[in-house]
Amino acid sequence: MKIFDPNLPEYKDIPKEKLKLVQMDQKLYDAKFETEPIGFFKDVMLRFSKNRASVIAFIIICVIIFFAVFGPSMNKYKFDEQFTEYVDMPPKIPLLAPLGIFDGSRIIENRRADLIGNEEYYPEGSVLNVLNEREINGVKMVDVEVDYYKYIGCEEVFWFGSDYLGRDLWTRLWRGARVSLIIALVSVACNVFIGVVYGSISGYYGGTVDIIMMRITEIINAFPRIVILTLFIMVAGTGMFSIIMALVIKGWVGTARTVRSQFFRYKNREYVLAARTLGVKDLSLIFRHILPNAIGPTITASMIAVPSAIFSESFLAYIGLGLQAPEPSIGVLLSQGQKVLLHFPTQVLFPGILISVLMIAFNLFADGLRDAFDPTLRGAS
Amino acid sequence: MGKYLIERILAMILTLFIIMSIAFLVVRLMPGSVYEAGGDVSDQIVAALNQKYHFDKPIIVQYGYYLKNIILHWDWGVSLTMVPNVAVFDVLKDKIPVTVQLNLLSLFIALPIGFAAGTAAAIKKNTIVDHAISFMVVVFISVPSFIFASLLQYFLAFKLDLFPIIYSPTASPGIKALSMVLPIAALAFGPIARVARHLRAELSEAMNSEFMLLATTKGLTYKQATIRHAMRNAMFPLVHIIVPMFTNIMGGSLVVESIFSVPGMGGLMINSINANDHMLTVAILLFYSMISLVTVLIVDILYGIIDPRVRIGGKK
Amino acid sequence: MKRTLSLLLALCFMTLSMSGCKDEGNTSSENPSAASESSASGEAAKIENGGILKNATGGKIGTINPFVYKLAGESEVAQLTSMKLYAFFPSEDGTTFELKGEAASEPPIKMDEEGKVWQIKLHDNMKWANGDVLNADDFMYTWKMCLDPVMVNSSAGNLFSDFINIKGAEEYALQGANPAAPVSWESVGLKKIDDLTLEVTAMEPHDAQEVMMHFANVYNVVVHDGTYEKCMNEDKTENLYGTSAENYMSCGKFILESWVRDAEFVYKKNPDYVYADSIKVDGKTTKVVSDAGTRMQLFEKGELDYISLSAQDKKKYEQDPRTLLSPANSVVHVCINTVNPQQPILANINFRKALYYGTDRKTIAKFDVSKPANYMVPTTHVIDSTTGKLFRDTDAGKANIEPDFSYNPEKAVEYFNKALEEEGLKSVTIRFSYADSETARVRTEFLQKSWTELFGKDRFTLKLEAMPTKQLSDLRKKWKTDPACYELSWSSWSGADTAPWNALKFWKSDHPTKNEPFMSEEYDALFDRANYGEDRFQPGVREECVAKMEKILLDNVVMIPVLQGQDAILKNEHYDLHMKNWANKIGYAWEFGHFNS
Repeated sequence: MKIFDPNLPEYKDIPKEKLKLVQMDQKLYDAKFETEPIGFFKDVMLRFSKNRASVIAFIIICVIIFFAVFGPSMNKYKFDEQFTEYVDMPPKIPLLAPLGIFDGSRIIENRRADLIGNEEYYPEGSVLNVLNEREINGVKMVDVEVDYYKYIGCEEVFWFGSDYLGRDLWTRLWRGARVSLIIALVSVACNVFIGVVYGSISGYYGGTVDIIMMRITEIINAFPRIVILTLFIMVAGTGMFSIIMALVIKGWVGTARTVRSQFFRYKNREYVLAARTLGVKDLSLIFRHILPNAIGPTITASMIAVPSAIFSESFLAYIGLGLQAPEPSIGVLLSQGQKVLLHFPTQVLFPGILISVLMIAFNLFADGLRDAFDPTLRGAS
Repeated sequence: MGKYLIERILAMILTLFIIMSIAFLVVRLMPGSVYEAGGDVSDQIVAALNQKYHFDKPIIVQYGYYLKNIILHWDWGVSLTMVPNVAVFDVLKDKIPVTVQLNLLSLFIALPIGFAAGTAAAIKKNTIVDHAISFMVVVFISVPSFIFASLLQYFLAFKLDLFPIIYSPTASPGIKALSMVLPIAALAFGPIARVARHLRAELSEAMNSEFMLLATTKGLTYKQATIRHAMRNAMFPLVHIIVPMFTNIMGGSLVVESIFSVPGMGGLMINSINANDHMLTVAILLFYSMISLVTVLIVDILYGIIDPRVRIGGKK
Repeated sequence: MKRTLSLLLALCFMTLSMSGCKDEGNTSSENPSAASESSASGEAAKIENGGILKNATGGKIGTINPFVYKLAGESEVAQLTSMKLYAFFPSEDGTTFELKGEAASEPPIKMDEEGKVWQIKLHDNMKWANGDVLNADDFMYTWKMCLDPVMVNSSAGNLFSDFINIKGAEEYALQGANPAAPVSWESVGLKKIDDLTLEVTAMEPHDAQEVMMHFANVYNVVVHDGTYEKCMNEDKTENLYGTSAENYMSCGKFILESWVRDAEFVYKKNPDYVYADSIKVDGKTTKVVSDAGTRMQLFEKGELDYISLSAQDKKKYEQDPRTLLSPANSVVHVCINTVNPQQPILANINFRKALYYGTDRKTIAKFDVSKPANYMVPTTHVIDSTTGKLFRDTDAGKANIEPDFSYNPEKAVEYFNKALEEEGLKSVTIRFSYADSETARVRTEFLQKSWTELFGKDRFTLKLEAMPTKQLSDLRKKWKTDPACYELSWSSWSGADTAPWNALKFWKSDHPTKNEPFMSEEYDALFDRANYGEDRFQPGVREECVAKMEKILLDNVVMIPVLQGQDAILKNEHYDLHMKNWANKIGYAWEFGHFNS
């Protein structure tokens, strides 16, 4: 490369007029970034996808949602189809049967010993094992392990067993999961919306506004949920709507409090002061400058609120204020299962596992989201 | 502070009054009447009883009578169907000690365990210890309490015969103490999990903060820095969790109390709503409301004391 | 912060220790019973004639004040610990019940021609648990307090609207707190003749059996005047009698020693009881355990001598020789609101018949091991209490029962089509309100499914509506003021099982708490004849009336009878019953049994 020098011989004879500056008519710019710009949500996504546990949790949630949508139609039974001859059947999953689990066997207790071998009581091949021989009041009694499907003479195959009316629990479980998820998601969405708006106003303005608004939340919170629910059920009838409403009436208060406390934490920070000095409007201060700080805790709280809404619904079912029969929900199934916990443990097992998995998944998912959203972590690591 | 406290207490009384009024109206407007003719109770008797308790008057007049009795005689009415003729707060008085005793004991067990588990998980973050504790926490939170309670009862009491099956208030002190173990354990799962979970979150946040860096830079050991600085900071937000735990112990747990047959507060409210015992329902509502109001007050005051950065109700 | 925390801790410890104190106070007063309990659990078998009978109940007991209690569990405690003039006892041979004097020494004596005035002689030497003499004064005091116009007791009506209407009782009780023209106590037909003789004057003529039956009902338990007075509030408007062991005085089979609310009752045998010899056990403890699973575990551990079984456990212990069955005293039926303006089809007899014949009673009964019923008078009802003959065993009773439990799908569909045609409807949607109990839900869900399948999805829809029991029972009775209150619902009435003619009062036109808007002059006439008619004591008259009344109810499908409940009880093998079989009124008479060695 040659550098121009007027003293060099080869440039001597070039007249000065012929030379001009390359960028005379142009403005100078910085070089453009080769990479794509990363927005807030993209950053969140990146951060989130690095958290392996949360991604797995997210996948689990998706799988559960998939089953909640398609699970009920995976076998031939309908959720309200009754086989009154085949009530409380044990689970029978043909694939797992060779392993000795969910093979449709059950121990029936307190049978008379003299009836063993009587084909009228125990159809051929139904008795697998005779246990625990004993004598009560001079009568020989035993516990009998039977192939319950043969014992009852049931040709159907209930993967997760059947309930007290002989309804297929696989279908009911996923249908219940669908109902529970809808209740939870809708009520949480409403809660977040109301809570964020309310909490922002209360926290931002403080003083008298805050005191009055907090009094209102205290009054609302002081009413136990059962009263609100009973009233709602009386007015609106039992059903999804009244349960969602009942969860919303009290549920948003929690979000409002979280948002309010975040506002208390951030509203006196220097950057807010600076923004205000620059003449930024209240609304913009609230939603652009302070609220994003509350997104992390709110998202975390609302993701945790999803399974706890499912829990609340199951508590309602437990006290008899659940969904309108025959519609199942996880709560309805749990509370029915609880009544026969020691008789037919599998009736609690499956909904219990499902609610636990949902809870774990939503919690991990929430953790991941919170870390991803947390602005103080932004740019770090 | 004093002025603020008086303001808050006055506001609380006003809130309670509003709650009382709403509760009275709501409960009285719920469908179903206190007295119901049926079987051997004739219409005339029902009419006479309604007259006695002014249920035949318009609701506003009833409310007037209610207020009058409270102001003049400090008479909150009597339970009418659950424990007939007994003054409502006497009904509560019978129930509260049992529930408080069990729940307090369970909290005293749960809190240290929760603290230990939360701290361990935070310090050993992302190790096997942390994962194990997190798993335990999630299991404790996510498995419904009736399953825990039933399983504890079935295996520890029924199968292994280690404890009495139910709570026995009248047995000898030794047996009584033994019979309290299972309900206490069943009640402890929730608090353990919640404390551990929050402490882990707060502590790991605190340990990442600048003051920890400063503390280690100026020569404190890791242990010193964690205990003196990180722990203290992580404790503040826990006030939100722990204070309600202490005040909520008076509420009792419906499920645990019913499974271990504890004669406590647990099912009282639901039963009294279902039995249309209106005066008792209002009293229970007021009682619970008062607990939740006092809780909020304590949390706010404690916050003001321990974390000077939060100024109570400060203007924008 | 440290200070606040320690303050908080100190506060908590204080509450703890305070509550601890209170409980210790309790235990010390009940130590003897607690000690005997713990020893009894394992070694009850070794104590010959004696021992503590232990059971558990799921129902909570609010009060044992006989003037205000309503629940069966509450009246059971009162009947164990107090006395009535007459009571039902197991017969000598343990096969049936026997109605005889408890406080009264002999059957009532007729004092006039018609049978309106009766004298009742009392046993001598009766005592309260504190040693006070129990005589006619106590009964007079009890009656006076029961009818007290200021207190207004819910069971006051038993003296003027039950089997027997006492002269002047209604006017006295309902005169109000400040009457313009006071009715004096003297005008009421309840008199003391001497310390051991009482005289009652009724409005209508009766026979001795009816008088005895009336005073044997659960509300006629005697109260102790000293304790009752002590429990009165200043204005004499509220009374705490029977709300704790201290506020109660026993005189019956057992003495109530301690009562921890919602936890435990401890009784000991009363040596001064009139028939103290017939009680073989030393005492009884009843635990209040609301969870059925917990009760079962207590029983299997030997801590209870008998328990009633849940529907699931009934199936589990079906073949167990320790299982005892006891029929319920009522028929569970579907009530129909025929005057509902929104559902005129309910007034259509063919539609009701369609539901009646479309109900698969056998399957419904199977869910909780009860008995299908297409009749209204339960199998337990005795038509003649002197012989113990059951109404369902009479020819007239059998004639009312259709075959196959009246389940006839073809007939049902036929009636359904006819009804739709008559009403000019293409499809019908009916609302079924049920109480949120386990059993009711199972039954209702089954009806929903089976009726819909039977009549066709496009033509019949059953909407379900669950609500708390108390609210539902209020709702059912509101049809007089609000005809649209309900459409279909469950109900069951338990009337006097020794007087089926009286138990059918719930469908009389003027019954105050009817569920169904059914009015029939013919029915009322039959009812009056069986209850008040002059020829009612003649053989066969009541039987005929009851059969005809039941037939009217069934023919008009006023309601749809579905099943009769059946309880199962599991009994410890160490305890022998006096009764050989279940009997009306007394069941298995648990207190009269004894522990075998």
